Amino acid sequence: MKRTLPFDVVSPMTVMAEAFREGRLKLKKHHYTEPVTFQDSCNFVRNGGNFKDARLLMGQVAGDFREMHPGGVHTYCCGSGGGHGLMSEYKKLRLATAKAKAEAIRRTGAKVVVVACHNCEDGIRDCVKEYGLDCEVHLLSNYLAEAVELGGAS
Amino acid sequence: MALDTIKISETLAAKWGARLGMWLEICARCGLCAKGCHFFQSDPRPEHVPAYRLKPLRQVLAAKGNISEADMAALVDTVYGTCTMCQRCTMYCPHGINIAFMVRATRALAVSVGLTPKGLASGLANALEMGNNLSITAEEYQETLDWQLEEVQEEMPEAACPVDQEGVRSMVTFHPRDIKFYPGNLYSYLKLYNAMGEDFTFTSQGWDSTNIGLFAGDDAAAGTLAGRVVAAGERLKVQRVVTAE
Amino acid sequence: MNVYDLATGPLVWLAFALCLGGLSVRTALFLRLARERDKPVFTGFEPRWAGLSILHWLLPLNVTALESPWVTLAGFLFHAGLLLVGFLGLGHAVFWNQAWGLNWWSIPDGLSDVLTLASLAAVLFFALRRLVRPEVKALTSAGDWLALALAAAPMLTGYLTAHGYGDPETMFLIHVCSGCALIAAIPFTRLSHALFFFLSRAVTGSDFGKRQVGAW
Repeated sequence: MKRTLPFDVVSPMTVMAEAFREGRLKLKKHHYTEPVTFQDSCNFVRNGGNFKDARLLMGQVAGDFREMHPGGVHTYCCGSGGGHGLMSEYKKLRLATAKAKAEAIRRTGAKVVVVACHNCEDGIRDCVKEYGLDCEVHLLSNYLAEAVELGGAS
Repeated sequence: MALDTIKISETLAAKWGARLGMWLEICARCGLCAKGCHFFQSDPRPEHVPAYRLKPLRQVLAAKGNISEADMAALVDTVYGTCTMCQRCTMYCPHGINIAFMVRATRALAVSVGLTPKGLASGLANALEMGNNLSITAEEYQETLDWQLEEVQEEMPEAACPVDQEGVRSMVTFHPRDIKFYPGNLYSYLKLYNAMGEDFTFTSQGWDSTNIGLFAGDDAAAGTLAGRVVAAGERLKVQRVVTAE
Repeated sequence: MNVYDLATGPLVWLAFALCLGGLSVRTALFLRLARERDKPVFTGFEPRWAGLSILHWLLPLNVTALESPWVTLAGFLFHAGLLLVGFLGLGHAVFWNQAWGLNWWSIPDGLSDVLTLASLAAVLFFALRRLVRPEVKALTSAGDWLALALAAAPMLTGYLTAHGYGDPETMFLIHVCSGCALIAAIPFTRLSHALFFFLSRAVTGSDFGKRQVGAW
């Protein structure tokens, strides 16, 4: 199964952060003022090396960015990884064990959790709902798209 | 239906390798991995210690694959139900044991005898049959792209939505839900990729870069699914493939 | 040849032969198996990350040292006592010298005493932990107790011998025999982590290092 591919495989965060660094992607500085935290995904941050990319992009658009603890490469899984998003048979256990993540989010005091992974989106939405957190959940692309400075790319 | 224990032992033999043997042997059962697991941190029960997830594999090995249906059911609950394969525990293990790797190998045992939990199994079946795990048709896909392009063009009249363009830099793939449930995500991707002036294309084939086969521990299916994205990338001769978020 | 000569002569030879021979065979088998059916062990190997990973865990430069400081402390004291006194204790140094003409550093008896007692305290800590902490208790199997006993026996009897407890000759004989058992058991029990610690950390360190996670 393993063979060398004729192309690179990259994550959206890599592409967006690269474009931002090169000045191709213009994002409004501190477009958002509400306290916001970022769900470091196991796939992209722990296993994909996107930590700096995520901070670069979030730091640009978020005026009040709060780190989650534990976070970064020590991030807790959103609970929806490893196929858990699809396995309704284990949903009760998944929600019960999202407690650690819920507490990590609660401690940040953030009103928005930005996620950069579809699994995390489900996991965090369920977690926020189950533990009554006063948070919105947004996908990173949506969060960034709204802060795009148009006319800057030409 | 009786459990096909011959299949289990065959899969076990196929999965056996240097790392698997080493990690099973040197796990000191010290329990330090518990600090690494959100299952244990949320609900500190012995079954939630990552090292506990090696127990079923040991059991199958000791029995040379010849295990009871009840034990197999317990195996499924342990390796599917109590692990998201996030690899956090490995960072807390003094020996650096990759529990997720072992869990995936153990999941393969369940797959081999058709015991994949049904949610995963049906998603996987969809992906294999329809090319994406939400059974989206080609028409639905193209229509959604066109619709979102129109939306973006209200803001950015010059925005484009190239599909199957050869020789560009980036081929952008999706999670099927982007198409089916959250077309607004497509709007954002189109806006971002157009705004950054990326030389990109979408693809009509192999656009679902999620891989339920990997979750399930089903190597054959994982290979098939990944192969489709690879084929698309090769066909379009792109420099890089951008995965779904 | 009396029992004493037998124990300090052929038995020690046998123990070391089993240990070193066993470890060599196990290394060879591991590499063969990896070559045949676990290619990522080689293709993923990154010397820099492998080295850093080993270093970070041979020294307490890791997340577990922060999050589980007591277990880490016990772990270091335990291994320090075992290895330092084992290789460099004065009595041992004299033995290596007489038996094989080896000449290296030795540590004074007073320090050996402190190291041995600290190491035994760590053994006690680990044993209690296995009995008291439910999550560790649930994981514990007979092999874990065997490993602990194998390591504790020579340290305990060595201390008792050095301080004249019990019948000196009997105690000494037990010390030598238990020491030989420990050495001989390394390749064939969980104690093989003396070797596999390095291989495992090399594999995982390479893997995590490549993903820019750092020296895991």
